[in-house]
Amino acid sequence: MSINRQLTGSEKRAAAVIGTTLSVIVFFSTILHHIFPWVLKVQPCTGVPYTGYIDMFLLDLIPIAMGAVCFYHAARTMGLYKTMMFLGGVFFFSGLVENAWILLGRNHLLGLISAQLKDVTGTYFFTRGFFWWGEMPAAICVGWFFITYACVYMLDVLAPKANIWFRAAMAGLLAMDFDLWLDPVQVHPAWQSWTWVSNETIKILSIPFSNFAGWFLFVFLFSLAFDRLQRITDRWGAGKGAWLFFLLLLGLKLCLVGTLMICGGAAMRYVSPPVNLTIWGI
Amino acid sequence: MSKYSGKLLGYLPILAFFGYWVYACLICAALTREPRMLKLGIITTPLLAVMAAAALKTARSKKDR
Repeated sequence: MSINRQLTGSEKRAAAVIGTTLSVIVFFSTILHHIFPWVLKVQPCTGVPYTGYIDMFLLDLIPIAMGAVCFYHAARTMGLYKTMMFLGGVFFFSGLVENAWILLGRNHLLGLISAQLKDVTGTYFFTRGFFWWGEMPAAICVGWFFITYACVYMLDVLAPKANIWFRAAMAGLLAMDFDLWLDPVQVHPAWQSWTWVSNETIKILSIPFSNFAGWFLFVFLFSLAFDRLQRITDRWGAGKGAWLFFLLLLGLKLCLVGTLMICGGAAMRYVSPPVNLTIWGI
Repeated sequence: MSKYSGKLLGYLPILAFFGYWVYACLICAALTREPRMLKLGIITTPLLAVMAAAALKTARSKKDR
């Protein structure tokens, strides 16, 4: 089951570039967030529990530990190169999508992109995190890594011969199902891990529908892209293949943000009064 | 260590995800002290069923080997 072959030179270089880039971005983002909060207009977290540095550090360790477990599994079964591509791809994919969404909302720029979004009051922001990736806690990126990895893995175990489109869609639905409980719990006043400032007209459990659509699309699209990685590297080699893989992710990212904007804009325009599907008042 | 981790290897992603479900959903919901937040967990039954099925299939495939 394990892959013991040595990495080629270009695989080593690609893995090293990804690892170094991730570390540098996390290092500078963390400094920017904590020491120069005015640069990215970091929202004050008054009244948010567990925002002491020690609390934040310890809470970050939990998803990092889960991520380490999945990283070990991935490295043993797929090899280090593919594992780094998965990790770097998730950081790149989730990091840019979430940062774009957070910063567009925070700076009220959605209206510039589409007139239908001009009435959107904002999106969301994260309150707690020791390590940061732009305006997103690095622990959330790690969470995306192991949740996506585990969902894809479970579908590989249960339906190894099924079509990739089916497996990717099911993995996306599993991740979305997880978030149906995670999000209401984490935005509860007892936690406030992130705060929604969106006035979207369709909500589920008081959470904007676009969030759940985003969870599904993220895991679905990333699974499809990662499935192509082997063919890309077979044809273009590990080095050029890595660039093409990230380019593919960039294209899919634009599709994801575009889809959410089009659907969000349509909902803002046509859904009135706002709809909120709740259970037990949540 | 390697023998132990070899036996466990197939379960690791499921265990990691399940562990995070326990922490970020179950424990955090309990700490809100609102029973309805805990009851909401029923919504993740499909996810738990898939985790259990994947773990069972992994166990069977190890037994068959």
